[in-house]
Amino acid sequence: MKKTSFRLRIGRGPLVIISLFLIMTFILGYRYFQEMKQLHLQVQTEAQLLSAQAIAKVLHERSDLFFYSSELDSEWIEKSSLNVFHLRTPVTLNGYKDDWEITDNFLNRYSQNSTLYDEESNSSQSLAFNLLLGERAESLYGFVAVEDSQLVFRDPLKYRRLDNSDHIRLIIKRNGLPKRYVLVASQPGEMTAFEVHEDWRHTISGEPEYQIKAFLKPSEKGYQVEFQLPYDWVGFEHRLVVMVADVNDSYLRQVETVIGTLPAQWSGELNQLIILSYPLQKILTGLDRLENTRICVIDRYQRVRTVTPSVSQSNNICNKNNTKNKQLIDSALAGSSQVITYQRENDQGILNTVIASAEPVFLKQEIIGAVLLEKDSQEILTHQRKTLDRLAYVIIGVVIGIFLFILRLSFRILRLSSELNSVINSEGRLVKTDIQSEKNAHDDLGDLSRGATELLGRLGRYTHFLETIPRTLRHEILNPVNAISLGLQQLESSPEKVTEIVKKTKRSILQLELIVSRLTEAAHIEEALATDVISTIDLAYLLRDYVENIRQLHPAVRFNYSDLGQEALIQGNDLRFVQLLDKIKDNAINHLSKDGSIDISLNCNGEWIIVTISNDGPLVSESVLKALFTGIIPRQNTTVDSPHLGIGLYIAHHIIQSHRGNIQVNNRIDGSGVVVLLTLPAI
Amino acid sequence: MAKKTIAIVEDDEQQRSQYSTALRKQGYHVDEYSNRDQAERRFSQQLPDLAILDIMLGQDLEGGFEICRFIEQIKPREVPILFLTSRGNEVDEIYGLNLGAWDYQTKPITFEYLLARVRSLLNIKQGLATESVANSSSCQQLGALAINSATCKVTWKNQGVFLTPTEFAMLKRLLECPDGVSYDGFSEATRQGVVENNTINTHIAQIRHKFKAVDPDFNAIKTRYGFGYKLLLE
Repeated sequence: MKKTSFRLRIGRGPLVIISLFLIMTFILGYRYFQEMKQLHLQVQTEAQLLSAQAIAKVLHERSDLFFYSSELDSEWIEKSSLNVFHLRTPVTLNGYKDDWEITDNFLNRYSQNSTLYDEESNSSQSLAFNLLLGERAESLYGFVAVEDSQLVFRDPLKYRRLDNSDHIRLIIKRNGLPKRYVLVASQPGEMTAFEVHEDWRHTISGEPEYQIKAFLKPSEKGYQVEFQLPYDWVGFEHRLVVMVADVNDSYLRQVETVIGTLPAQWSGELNQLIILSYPLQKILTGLDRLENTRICVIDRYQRVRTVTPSVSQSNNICNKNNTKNKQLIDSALAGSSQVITYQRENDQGILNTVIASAEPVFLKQEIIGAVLLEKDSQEILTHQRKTLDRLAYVIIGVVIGIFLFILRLSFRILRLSSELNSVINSEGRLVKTDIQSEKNAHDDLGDLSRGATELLGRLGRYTHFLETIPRTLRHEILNPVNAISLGLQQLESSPEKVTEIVKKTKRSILQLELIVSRLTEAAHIEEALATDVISTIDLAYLLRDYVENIRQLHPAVRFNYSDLGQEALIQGNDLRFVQLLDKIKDNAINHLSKDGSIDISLNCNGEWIIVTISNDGPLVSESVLKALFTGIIPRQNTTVDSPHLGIGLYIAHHIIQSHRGNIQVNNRIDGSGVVVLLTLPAI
Repeated sequence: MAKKTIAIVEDDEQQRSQYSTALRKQGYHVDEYSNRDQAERRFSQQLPDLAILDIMLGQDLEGGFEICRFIEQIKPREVPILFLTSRGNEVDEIYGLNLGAWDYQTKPITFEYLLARVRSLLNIKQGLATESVANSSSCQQLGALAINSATCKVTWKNQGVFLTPTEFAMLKRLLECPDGVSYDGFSEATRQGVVENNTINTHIAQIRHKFKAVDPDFNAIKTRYGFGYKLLLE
């Protein structure tokens, strides 16, 4: 339980803070994008209004582009206009509308109110047709979808008259004169065209008009016809009327109903073809490159003059069902420019923000048309969504990263903690001094682990010191105590030798004092080190002086010294360093072989200063090498005058540590003696 | 002349009686105290001519230091205080001397040496009190340094430097040996028995400190690393 709460405690705080921070970032980011979106929309709206105004400006005073004539009856124009769409792809005459690429929304429907002739005025037969006109490559195309319950084909073998089957009638104003044509079919497929008299019954020349091609295809509701004629026939005047004549009784073969593209009151008149204006198209060509922007130019009779990029791609911009745009156009034609933003479903059914603006086009003071601009703000939304998505991914990534980091951190801490817990066994004994977990990590946890190892090492040395000192002490103390005891006994038995015995006893007491003194020194070394005054010392000078002095002090011992020849500065306490040298020197002298020498050298290796003290003599066994610096070294040969407690190196280790250095004891490679290596950081 | 009063504060009864017996034999009046309370109660009424203090008094681990501080508060630098203790490390010694003690000796100590110390301390006190005329035979002068062995008085550039008997003995030894004094040499000069090099270093540091108090440029005591010290006078 304890461990669990420990783990939670590590991760919870930072995780909560970071999570809150990230959520805040997300919220702020979202708000920022909302504001950006608003700003973007606003900027776009203004830009669009300006564009609309600019386009309108270009079109001002261009009555030619609008077929505008103030003398025409506006109602008639509105009703008689037939839009001719530009076809972008070739059309095959097969009765299908698929290849027209124009939606059904643009079909013009004609039914009862366009009836030109009806045999029985209250006919139950409902004749109606849809018409679409297009132009491409010097040809005018027509698509007529007729709703007719009874399809009657021509029987040319039995009847010469052309009006005794279902047929299409066309009146074209060619060179100022109306010409009448009948399209008839004796079977589904190609139709034949004839130029006819006013009665629509007989051909003028007796020959079919081969320049008019047509195709009939029966459909579910009736039949569909596609026809093609030379464009120059409608020529300059652009006048055409399309009529559908219906024959239902294949026996009587009488025309029962005729429906035309003009209301009955204008029978005899021709429709005005409104070809989408090429000059206008050209003017707007550069503008159709604008992404997601559609432009529609409308004349004052609400006839579409041009649409960019194309009718099929323009997404019903000028569709009369689009009430919003209709309102805009109405208000523009009433003289006011306007811009609106509204939501609309696009082809994929996604709700989309649309910016639409309309601007009137003037001829002097009169309004002759309007420009309608429409733009999807979809890209704004897409961009916003993408950015938010990215932000969310980044945040999720970061959260996962942090979570994994914390998880890993808590796992590492747990591992370290469990290893630390196992350092001391249930009896309270230190069982290991080396922490393996995180030993090589380069972060704080690594420092902690190494710090713990160092601390445990120190604790281990104390423990070892305390454990071994009584044994060694008993050994060392018993000798002088025994000598004193023997001396006193001797004094009792032979009082005449008092001087000699007192002398011996005093020596033993001195021995005891020395032991106590060494112990005191060892016990207080850390306390004493803490109070030392630290200054910059020159080891080169110190060693030179030191070697000179110890030569005087130990005339029997040969000391060799190799100097560095330059300053070797370290931070420390000179006298304390001499104490360290004394310990090593005493040790070296104690183990010096006969005729051997002690070599002292000073070297500098960039950041480190290395002092080497080596002596000829017996090697140190591996077990002793391991136990060095831990306190007490197994007893070797000692003299009565200098008790060998082995705490010299223990003190030496403490001193070198306080100088942030390192001490190493090794046997010489050639086996001739022992080397002590002191490494200290240079300044 | 009235008998000098010596106060001994020592928790170990055996040692206390041995010391007092030895001192009484020399004609001193000796007051014995086994704890801090007794001693301070008496000292608040009347101070002794000299006090020998143990540091650890039973459970009172720093008792001796406290008594020293108590005396120094009443009359600073007037009563010679001699610490006689088994706590022989430098940290305690420096602490004791800084409190105002005149001398710091570690046990074991011989009677002979203790009596010599007591005498010497009383002489110094006497000398300070009377500003006695210098006896030419006991005076030594070298450069800016002048010492009087009889009164343990030291002057540097004609300014008095107050040294404890141990410090005085060490300085005197330095003056006598122009080639320098080894640690063993100092050991003999200060007392019998074992004296650690660190203790000598501590004493030298104290001497230097006291000289620097009167002359910040004082630099006459040179360290001979691994050997000892040397006096270098111009």
